[in-house]
Amino acid sequence: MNSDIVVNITNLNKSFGDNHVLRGIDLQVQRGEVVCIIGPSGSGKSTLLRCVNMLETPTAGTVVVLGRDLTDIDCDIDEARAHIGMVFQQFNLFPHMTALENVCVAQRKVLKRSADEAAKIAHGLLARVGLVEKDNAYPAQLSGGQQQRVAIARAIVMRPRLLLADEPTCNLDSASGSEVIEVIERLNRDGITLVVVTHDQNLGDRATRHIRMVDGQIDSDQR
Amino acid sequence: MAISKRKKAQYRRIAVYVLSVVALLAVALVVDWGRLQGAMFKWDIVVEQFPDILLSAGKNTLIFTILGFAGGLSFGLLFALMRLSTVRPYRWFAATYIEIFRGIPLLVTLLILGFGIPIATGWRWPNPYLQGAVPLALVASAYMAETIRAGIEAVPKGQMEAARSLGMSYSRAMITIIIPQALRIIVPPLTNEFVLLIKDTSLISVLGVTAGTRDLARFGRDGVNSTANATPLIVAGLVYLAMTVPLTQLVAWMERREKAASR
Repeated sequence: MNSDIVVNITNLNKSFGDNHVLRGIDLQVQRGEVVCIIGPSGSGKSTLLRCVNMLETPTAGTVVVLGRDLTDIDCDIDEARAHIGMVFQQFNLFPHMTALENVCVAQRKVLKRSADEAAKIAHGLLARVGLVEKDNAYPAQLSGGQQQRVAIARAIVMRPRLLLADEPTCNLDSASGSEVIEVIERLNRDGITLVVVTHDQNLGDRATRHIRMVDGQIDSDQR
Repeated sequence: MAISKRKKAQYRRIAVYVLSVVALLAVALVVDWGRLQGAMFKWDIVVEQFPDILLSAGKNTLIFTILGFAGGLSFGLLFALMRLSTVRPYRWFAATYIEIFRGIPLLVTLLILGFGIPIATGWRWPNPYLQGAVPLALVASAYMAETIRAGIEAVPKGQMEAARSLGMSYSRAMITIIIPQALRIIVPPLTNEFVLLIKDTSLISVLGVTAGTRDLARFGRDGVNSTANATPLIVAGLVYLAMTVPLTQLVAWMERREKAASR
């Protein structure tokens, strides 16, 4: 298999009860691409994204990410997810932890790094997303754009080769949105493959590929 | 000319005040205060209750409460997690347990476990504190399980998703991310549960306890028997109030603060 294929989805189907949300999706994503998924609400774009790291379990079909078949029952999903970063529309920062702790927690609990080492790496990553002197701020003390950048730092701390983003700029004003887009672009230059669900024209303009979904199927796919 | 609605409401308020004052005066005049004090609040009997009512009975009530609360919290957390589990038998077991122990009066549970089981099996409770505290904890755990479950469900779903997408296992995410947030939500209702437990320990007095493990209610009752006066029970009631009122005020303060923070 071509090692440049980061995501390989075949005949993906997902139903919620009687609601057939995804109808036979086939999709391959190459390394270094910025894939932008657009489409009307209810067309299944978020569900498709969430199937890529198995936040939704597919009803049928296979999802192979970085050579691992996530739909295989023997697949260690926790281990696989550590290589797939995810950024959410609502940021989903842990509100009981500071910005630094948000970026540290997975290093400490999943990678078993020491507190000092994790803090050092987290501090560097927060600087990389343009947040200096915010280490000890709680999410509630940060603006939306700052929160989303903490969330990106948290997602890339595991050094994922693939980053999924579900409407990352939807809850942000255009200035904060631009900051987030800048960070995402920089990550892509550093070699991270991106799959983004968005309505944001600004973000869409940066994509190398546009996929349009309608009624749970891929309607168009343009590079 | 017709009276306006606001005027009417004003008259009604005045009428309520006047009636309240009249009622209070009537009670004050009709009751024989001297006799009442002699039967229910005789000063030398009040003094006689101390310090044992605090050092022995009050202490025992607190021991029963704390044992019941600690056991109830541990098992309550366990049953809450079982209720939320994807494994069906766990859910069934927890749901059945909760229904049973919330449906049977504490007094009956105390009698079954405190007397019934020892009579039926010949087994003896190794410790009179446990004899009272274990049934209390079992019942408390059923109530607390529902409180904790509600707290866990109140944590937004995105928190679990964010934790899982970082590679944390379900249990790791629960311990590190979800439960700490749920605890904040459930501290006020759990404090209320603690207050309920303080009061519920009074039921333990139906079990034949030794003089050293008497709780406040039993202490008051025994005092009534030995003095032929209701004063010991009144004093016991006041000691209960001294424990519960600060806690309910604490809960009220926490809820006010929470309300202010979420505004």
